[in-house]
Amino acid sequence: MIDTKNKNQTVQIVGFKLNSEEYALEIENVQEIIKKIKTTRVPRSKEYINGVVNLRGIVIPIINLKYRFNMSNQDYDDNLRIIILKVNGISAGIMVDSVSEVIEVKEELILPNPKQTNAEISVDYLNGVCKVDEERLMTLLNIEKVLEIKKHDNYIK
Amino acid sequence: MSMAQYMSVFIDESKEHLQLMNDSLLKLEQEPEDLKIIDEIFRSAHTLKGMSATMGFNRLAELTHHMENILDNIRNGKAEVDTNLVDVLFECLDTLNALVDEVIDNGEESTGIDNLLVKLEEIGKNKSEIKPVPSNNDVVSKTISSTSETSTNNKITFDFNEFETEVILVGQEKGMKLYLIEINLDEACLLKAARTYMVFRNLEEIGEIIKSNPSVQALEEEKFDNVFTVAFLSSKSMDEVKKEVEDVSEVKTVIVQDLRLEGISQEMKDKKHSEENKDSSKKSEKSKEDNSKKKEKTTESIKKTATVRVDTEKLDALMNLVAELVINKTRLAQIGSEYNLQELSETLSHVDRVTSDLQAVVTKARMVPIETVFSRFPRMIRDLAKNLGKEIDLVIQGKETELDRTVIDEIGDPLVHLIRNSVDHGVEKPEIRENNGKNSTGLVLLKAEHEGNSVVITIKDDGKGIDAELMGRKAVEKGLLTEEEVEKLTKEEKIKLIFASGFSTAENITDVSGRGVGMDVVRTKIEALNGSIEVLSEIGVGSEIKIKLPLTLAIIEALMVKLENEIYAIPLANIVETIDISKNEIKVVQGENVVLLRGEIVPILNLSKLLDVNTEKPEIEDSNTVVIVKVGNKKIGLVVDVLIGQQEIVIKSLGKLFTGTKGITGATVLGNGEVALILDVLTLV
Repeated sequence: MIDTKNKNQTVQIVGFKLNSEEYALEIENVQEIIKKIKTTRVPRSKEYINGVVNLRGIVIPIINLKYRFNMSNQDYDDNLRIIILKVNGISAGIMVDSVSEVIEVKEELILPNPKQTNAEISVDYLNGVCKVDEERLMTLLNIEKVLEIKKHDNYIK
Repeated sequence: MSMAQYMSVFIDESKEHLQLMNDSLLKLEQEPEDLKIIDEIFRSAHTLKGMSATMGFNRLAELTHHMENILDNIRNGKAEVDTNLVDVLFECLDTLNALVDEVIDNGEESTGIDNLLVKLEEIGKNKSEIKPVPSNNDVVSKTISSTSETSTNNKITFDFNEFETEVILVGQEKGMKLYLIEINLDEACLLKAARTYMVFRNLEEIGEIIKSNPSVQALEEEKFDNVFTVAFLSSKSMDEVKKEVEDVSEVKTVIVQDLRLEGISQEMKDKKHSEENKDSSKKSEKSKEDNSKKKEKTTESIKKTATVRVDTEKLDALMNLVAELVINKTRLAQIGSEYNLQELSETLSHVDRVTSDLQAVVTKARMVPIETVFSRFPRMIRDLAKNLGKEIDLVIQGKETELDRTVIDEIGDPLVHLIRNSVDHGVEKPEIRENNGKNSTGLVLLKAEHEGNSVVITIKDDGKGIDAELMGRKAVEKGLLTEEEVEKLTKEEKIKLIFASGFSTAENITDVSGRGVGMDVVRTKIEALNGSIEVLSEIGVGSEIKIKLPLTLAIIEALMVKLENEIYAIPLANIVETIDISKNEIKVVQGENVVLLRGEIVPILNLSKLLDVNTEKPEIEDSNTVVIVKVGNKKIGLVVDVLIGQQEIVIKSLGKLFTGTKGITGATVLGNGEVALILDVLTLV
């Protein structure tokens, strides 16, 4: 057992997989998780945006994370999941291969600013690495960076 | 007794009175001699004073009280209306507005009024130096000398508080008479309250009831025998007053006496007012308010309907849900026809009616009269005209025309700009106008009207008009066009150059307009609202600008087109026509595909290619379906695969992540739940 005497705060994170690597997001940003849905391509938009979907009357952009991170294998199969996020008032969905679990981790176990990770993606998009147990590392995404949301973007036109 | 429930009434009514005062002040400036306008302002100020005092807003009450004094001086001929006075009154109005806003925001008054009080006092003093107010003794007489003309010798006494005396004195100065009316109802009368009400109503049509004995409340509750007396102010003769009361059935006898109230000087009243203990003044105000309220009811009939304020976000959410409902209804209809379910189809046709009604109601709920935008212009024109030394009448028509909230919010700035232009560049200075044989006062007309599914706003002035030749020369000067190009333009086209960017023809750049960003910004804004703007002008006669706007931004008519398996919506407002063009009609000019359409050269572009649709079709086929759209002044032909048809679509925002995506303005959800994109033809090419 890990010593819990420290006044550690815990955070809940949602773990998911891209190719074989494990990533995670803080649960506050996650609105819901949906299955594959028909997307509409938006011409002339940023290339990592796969298109838009209709989620109960609201049009939401869907982001191809593998393309965003410039991964070597950029294919998804039909079992893909879309994590619908709401960050600073902006809704967007990210495409992942699968969603593994929701876990509670101590903040002290999140190592900020990793110089390098075993993940394939640039450290710019990361918030840190979470050591779930001895064997398992989850890479925490900096979702604002991924969605290119700046601080002043939280007002909506 | 909670104040909160009166608060909303107070806010609504004070706003109303402030707007009334604003309107009247503008009128007063035009017709300074018209005492009726002064009366209107006085009445609004008076009501406001009463309401504020009752609610305990002392600054509002004090400021309005001092305004009243000044107005009173004008009415009595002790002061004259000049620009300085109107300016100060406008300042007072602004402060009153600020105070009311503060009350709305945090329930407290914080703007200081001392400054204005000093100004008001100075005006009062100045005038009294010229025409000194006959200041009187210091005895305040409240009794009435009854110069009885009737046979009754009963001396009826009324104790008037000073608000009432003030009203009476003011009325007497205007030649109105104070009557004391004793009304004796028939003993058999069953509905005494109803009869008294009718008496009051009849009297209020011809004058003002100052006080009654017993009180109005007691009368309403039938807490009196058969006799009551009324102090009544009217310009009508005694016989007329008597007849008016006798007209009410079950009135047995009516005795009218002529009264005269005297002996209170203006100064004394002021002094007394500030010293008077607040309770009694509040009480008396209330009874007065009751009276004035009653008056409103009878004269204007009851106009108010119960309303609630709703957050526009909630309306948007409601709109969203209705749209979802419509989509799902369509899906159900599809299932019904797929499985041939007769009963389902029948039920759905009912649901269909309900949903379309629902949609109509929600759309209606978002509508706001354009008055909310228009109401600020009289003041703006006044200030502008003053600054520029011009004389301008503003005529507003169709202010009750309703538009969607979203359009209303966006249309204010362009209108401000256009009106400023009319005042600054359009209407000439009075002396120039006179030299040209025009009325020295210029006219600006602001009109809104419905035209089918849109609203047309017209801004018209009788100023110097737009010089088409000057426009052409300026365009060359600024390097927007070459001389040859300008020569080819018609007069109308030259005038339209005003909408080109980097155009400002005012010779003197003022702070009002002339920064050269004007009209093209206006045009862009209007077009962004799916509207259009036109300008007509005749030198020396004036200019007319017409803005056509959709009723709502949430729903538009669009033509749905198909490119391979993708569906796009083109707003109908942008479409000129749809035609079939064969390959041999298309010519290549400077590497561009064009077609000659009724003498006009129209470039032909393949929409699939513009939107990077994955297709193997050639750019131009043997036969092409072409949608002709207008982009500003130009036309473009877009080749599409299939025309699906015309449809009303609900516009949804694409959100922040797509800002700057050219050619796409939004999205809509189709009957099958999928998203289709709406093209923005302005930025497409």
